[in-house]
Amino acid sequence: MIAGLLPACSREEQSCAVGACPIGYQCADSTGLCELQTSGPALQTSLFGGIAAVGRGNGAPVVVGFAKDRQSLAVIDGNEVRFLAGPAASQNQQPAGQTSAAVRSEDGDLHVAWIRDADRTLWYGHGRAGTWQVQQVEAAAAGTVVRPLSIAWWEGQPAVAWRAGDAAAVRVAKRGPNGTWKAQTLPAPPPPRKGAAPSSDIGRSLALAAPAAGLTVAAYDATHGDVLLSVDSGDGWSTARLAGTDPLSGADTGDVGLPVAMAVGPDGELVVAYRDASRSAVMLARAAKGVVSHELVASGAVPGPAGTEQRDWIGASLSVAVRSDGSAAVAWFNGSRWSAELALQRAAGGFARVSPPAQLLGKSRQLWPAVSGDSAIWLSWVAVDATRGPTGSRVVQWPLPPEVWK
Amino acid sequence: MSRLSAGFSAALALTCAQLLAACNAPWTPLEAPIAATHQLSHVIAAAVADQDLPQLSETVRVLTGKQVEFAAPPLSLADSGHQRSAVAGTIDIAAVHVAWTPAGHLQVKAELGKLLLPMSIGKSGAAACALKWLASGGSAVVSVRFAPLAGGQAQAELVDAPAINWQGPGFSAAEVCLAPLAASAGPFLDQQIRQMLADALLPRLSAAALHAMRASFAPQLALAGQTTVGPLGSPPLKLKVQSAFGADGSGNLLTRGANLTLARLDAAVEVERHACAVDTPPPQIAPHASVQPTQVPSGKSLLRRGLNLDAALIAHLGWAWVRAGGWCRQAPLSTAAPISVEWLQEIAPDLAQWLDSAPTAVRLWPHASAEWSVVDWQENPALEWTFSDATLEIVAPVGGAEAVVLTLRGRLRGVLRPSVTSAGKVQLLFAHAAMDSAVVSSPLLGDAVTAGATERLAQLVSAAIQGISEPAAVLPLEGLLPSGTVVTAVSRAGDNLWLWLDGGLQDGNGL
Repeated sequence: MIAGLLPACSREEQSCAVGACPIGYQCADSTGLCELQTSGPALQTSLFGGIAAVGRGNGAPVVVGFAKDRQSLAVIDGNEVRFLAGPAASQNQQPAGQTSAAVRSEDGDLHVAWIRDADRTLWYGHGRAGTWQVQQVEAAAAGTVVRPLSIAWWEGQPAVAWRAGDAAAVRVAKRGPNGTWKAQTLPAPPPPRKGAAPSSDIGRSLALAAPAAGLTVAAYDATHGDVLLSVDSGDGWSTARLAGTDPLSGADTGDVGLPVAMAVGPDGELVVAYRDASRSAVMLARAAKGVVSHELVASGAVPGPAGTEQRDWIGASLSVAVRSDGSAAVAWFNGSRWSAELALQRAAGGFARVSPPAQLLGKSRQLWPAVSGDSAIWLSWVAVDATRGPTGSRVVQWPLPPEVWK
Repeated sequence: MSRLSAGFSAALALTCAQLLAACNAPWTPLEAPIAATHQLSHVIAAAVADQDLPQLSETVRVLTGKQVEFAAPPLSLADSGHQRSAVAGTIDIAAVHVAWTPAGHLQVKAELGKLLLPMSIGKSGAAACALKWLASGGSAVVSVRFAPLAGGQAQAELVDAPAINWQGPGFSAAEVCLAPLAASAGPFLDQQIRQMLADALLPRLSAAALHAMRASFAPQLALAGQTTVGPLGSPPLKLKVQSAFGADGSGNLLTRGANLTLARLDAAVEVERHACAVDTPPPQIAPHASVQPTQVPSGKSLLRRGLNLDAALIAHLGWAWVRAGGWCRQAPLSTAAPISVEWLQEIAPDLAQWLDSAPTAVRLWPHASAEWSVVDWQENPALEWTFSDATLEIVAPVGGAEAVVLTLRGRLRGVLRPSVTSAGKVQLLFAHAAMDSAVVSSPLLGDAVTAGATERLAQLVSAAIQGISEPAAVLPLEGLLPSGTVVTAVSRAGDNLWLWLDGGLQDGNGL
């Protein structure tokens, strides 16, 4: 399967077989190793910034991100590149796409939302079989749009969540069958405890998902350092504090939720990954049938000089995916080492860190990791090289082989 | 010392809240004594300078009341059927003088003004005879001391029964109103009046003297307890604190220094090690044998007294602060001293192209325990700290994700300046920071960073430490001193620090 989907990698040498070869690499006949390609459209597109990786039933995920040198939003599918917005899409367009999100609908179509920073407008693109339709989400519905952004597929239509810059709150827009968008600003929840200040800064990080219970937003409450979970069950939005406040005592348990990522498990279970800045840790919450459990995914604790312990700056650029057996894969950026890190949930409990093959990593740094997929999980990241600069970045993808889950 | 007062708990809770980020548990009695290696003798002193005794005198006078009212109901003389009328008036306290006795007691002497007390005596149904009780002046004396209690605590107490003495004549020897009465009636009435005046004045004068003593030497300074501390997300660390007045068995805790009188305390602080801190023993600095401020502040005050913190205690508290992880800090960069992208570009030219915007945060990792000392900084007292080895990390957004973009490692030193706020609190303000022999590197660029921009590097370190130092730590004095006490000045005497206090008179004076 892998060999057929990745360019020029048909050999079965271990090096190629373990990681196949990522975008921008090819399996060298002489060495059996994945080596840098020197030409090809994908190579000429250097993404820089957070990426959205959208899995599909088989094959490498489609990657959506910002091509810094072209100042445009790019969709990379295998070795093909399509620019949806920005000067590379059309000469007259303003730069666009530094913030984007993508989701695939049941029919296999791709849905992408992005922000055009120049005028803080919200845009939506629908891709089917290589053909794209792009529309601006009506300004009246969108308001002032600032990062972050998330998209989900809900009841046969796309839904988008973003941070409303003028209100420091989360707005969610649903597209109707007639193509028009209706947006709502999510109400702030009550303070976490008596006497606490009202939440006035919500959504510096957010994620949108569509479990069976209803369209759901996980968002960071900067006022209290909490993860909020808002659910639209059909009767309007209701919000609860998922993490950062003790549910019984109301006590502050730390600054959590910047960033936050979310996925839906095969049984409809909501899986929320979040960074715990107070502990320098990555955590995972599972919410199902009103019961929430929290689990440590990874700690940033590392040995320091003179017998001390330091904390790596882990958890930025967070991503979570759930395998068809319910196991979660969580990927994050380690800002202390400029590396993409991955932890997989074990059947016996707990998480184990897993590293991509060394030949995929090379000497480059790995930024903005994203996990995607369900039956097969892929880890995608942007590889950067200090000597090549930001415009020399490349997307790398690794299909997690079955053995890493054991 | 198992009893923990609310004030004490509040004070120590504040200690950990402000110096160590958070308290995780309430204060409880010490479950075990603090190790001898942490015991420091005579490292805190509460002192009153001789030059402030006149002000102390006036304060006692004000606390007592410059005029003390008295009143007594009619008094029947059973033998003769005569009755003295009700009497009322005020005792004028012309002046109060306080002085230390050789035994270390505070003797308070009040000068009383002339007192003319009119009254009448008569029988029911007959005309009353008007007479007067007269004193040309008088004096009242109260002697108080600061006495030790069990477990290193202390209290202010009276030494002897207070006394009052009036200069005659009282009733005139030729007083005609007393002539019809028995010979003993005159002395009886005189004694009744003197007792009434003593009952009116002496409790107030005693209470004022005791209150001034308590405010000056603060029995609250003796405390003991333990709790757990640690920033949110860290395992809780056990913190033990104890301070006790050192008694010499004389029944009096006050000793005389050069031009001041003081009460000295022993102190001990022990804290478990945070994983981020190096495991080093406490500093071995011998406390000073004597206490002497270089200069007592002048200027008006209500009840000026000094609180001396010995260099040994400062070094020990600084060590405990570091050991508890209080200096493993992550902080947003100060808006007062931001780090611009251009600085980083000068220090590491290849870095700028990666950054979205200016650095947003800084982290500090000490690899050694800090050395603390009291210094002069721009003619003001200040605390200088030095880590022989520490790492500073500069965090900036890269493509929307925060990352450590630059690290600096070297000998790090800084200065915190104690500053008195308008609310009478002492906060430690950032004054200066520098890194010697800084080794500059980047997780992205490796060691290939050329730190050629010396001036920019110095600015970067200064801004980073300013960010780490904000908001300014506030010395947790509430509960350790009488309520309402304010700090008016901070001064330095050698390597000791003096906090000059005032106020604190409205708390529990019983008047």
